[in-house]
Amino acid sequence: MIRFLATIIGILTAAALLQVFQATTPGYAQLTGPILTSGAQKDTVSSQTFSVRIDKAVQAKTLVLKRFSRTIERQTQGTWLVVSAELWAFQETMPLAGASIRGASGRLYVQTHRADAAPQLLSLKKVQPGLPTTGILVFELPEEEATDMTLILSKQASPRLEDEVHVHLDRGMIESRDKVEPGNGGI
Amino acid sequence: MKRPNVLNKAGKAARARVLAGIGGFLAAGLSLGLSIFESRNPGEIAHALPGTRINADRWGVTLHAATVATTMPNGSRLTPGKRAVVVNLTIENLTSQSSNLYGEALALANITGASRPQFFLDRDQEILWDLQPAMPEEVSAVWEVPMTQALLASLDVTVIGAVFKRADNLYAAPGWFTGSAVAQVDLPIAENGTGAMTRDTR
Amino acid sequence: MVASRREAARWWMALIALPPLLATALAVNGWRNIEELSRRGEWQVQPVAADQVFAGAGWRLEQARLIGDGRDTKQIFPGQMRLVIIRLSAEAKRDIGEDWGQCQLRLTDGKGHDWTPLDVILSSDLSRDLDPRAEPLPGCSIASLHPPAKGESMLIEEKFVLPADAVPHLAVRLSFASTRPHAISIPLALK
Repeated sequence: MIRFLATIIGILTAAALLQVFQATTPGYAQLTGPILTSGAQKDTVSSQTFSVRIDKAVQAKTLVLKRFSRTIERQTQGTWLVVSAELWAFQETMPLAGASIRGASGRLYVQTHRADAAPQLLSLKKVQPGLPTTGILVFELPEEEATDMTLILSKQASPRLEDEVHVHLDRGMIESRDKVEPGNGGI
Repeated sequence: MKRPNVLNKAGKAARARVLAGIGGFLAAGLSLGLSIFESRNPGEIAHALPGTRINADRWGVTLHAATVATTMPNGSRLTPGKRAVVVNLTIENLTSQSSNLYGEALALANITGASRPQFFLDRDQEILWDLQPAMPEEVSAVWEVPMTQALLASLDVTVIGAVFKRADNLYAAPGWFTGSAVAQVDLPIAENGTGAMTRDTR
Repeated sequence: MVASRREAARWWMALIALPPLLATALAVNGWRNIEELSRRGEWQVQPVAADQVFAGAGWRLEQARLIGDGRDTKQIFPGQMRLVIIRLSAEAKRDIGEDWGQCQLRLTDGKGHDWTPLDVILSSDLSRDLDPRAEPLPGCSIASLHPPAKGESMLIEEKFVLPADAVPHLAVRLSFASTRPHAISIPLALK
């Protein structure tokens, strides 16, 4: 009888222990997630493989683009955010495939394709080691999300065990305009 | 005195085995029958009226109208021998991240041979790329259907939901997975005069 | 009683065998992963020797051009930016087949910096700008689809954008899926 009870208790303890292990083990996705480096807008934020310096951030209701030498205007129910930045790659030639804004609510706004006609898009450039690369990033997000924004940049769209740089945007350093027209010289 | 006892014991064991076998087969048969029944008679899908907002887990969808067109909303041409079924809708990304997988949310139930839908942003008639979270947009979903496909007076649009898993089975990563139909909407196909229509009116 | 004692012995044997078996399984798995990893990286880079056959061919630097400082062409690029164009000749010593798959051709400066070539479209555009009449030469990955037959040779061209101060130290590093972790290195000797 005692033996039987001991067996039952042993099995229950083992099950509970396994449950604890399972609940406390970080998931594979979490273990192989990005390597974060955070910084402020006024600083150059450097990870192990690349660094970012925000040149300017402009918010506007209308985005002015040129397509085949024709001027087009793009409206949004929210706001456009155009960021110009300078990037340095430390070791290897790298694209900048991952670019998004985390808004005030925590939602993630990936850079928009609606501005694909804009010149100097960083998403179409490659950053070469030793050569600083400047360009712009364009986002579309609701006004209320724009009260607290973090720019998130990485080499791949969803980095795994790779660097991801977070730059917290300072509200006082974001310019507000009626229209923003990205040109070859920036914004 | 011994023999009947042994026989009795053996008989008992055999009977137990046969019973277990029958039980097993019964259970398997029941499960199979149930799954066949379920796939044959998918649970009654709620019918929604045009203009009502449907919560499809990942997307908030409001279907407005359906038309038939001979070009894409942005003016580009259709595949020869095809015409376009256009559905105007308002769609909102209810998730926490930009996404372009809204095509999975709509299906045409009474049309066969339709292409995957292409989506256009009504604001500027251009291709809709990512739908940004918490920014509902007026869009047009376009299906190319063969000319030979007869169209009924109304379009039967199924809105398909999605399932969010905090940790998927493979990588324990959060993600959205295809769900089941959440609503069905009968959209009358409006005449818009952009092309000759052969319509089967029943 | 005898049977149960034998059973107990087996049970203990199984329990004792478990840790070494687990360790062996881990080791075998680890070894496989290490092997796979070694095939991805260029861990063993050697300067190319004369008459060396690498991935079924003999490799030679045919030409290296430096553009952007006004010496090769009149073009002057802003700041440190320079364009380097290299041509490699490959003479097939045997049937190459699929051996040039997943070609990796980069420039290195010996200080841990790597430059990957410009993409195919930009590269052909530049070729046409430099010489509108000549047909652009294939890059490494296109060449890998149609490698030369045995005894024949072909030219491969790649273009790189990099800073001027790296130019004197540059070397080409070349490897294929079939050769990794081995790679060869050919110095450019640009000034």
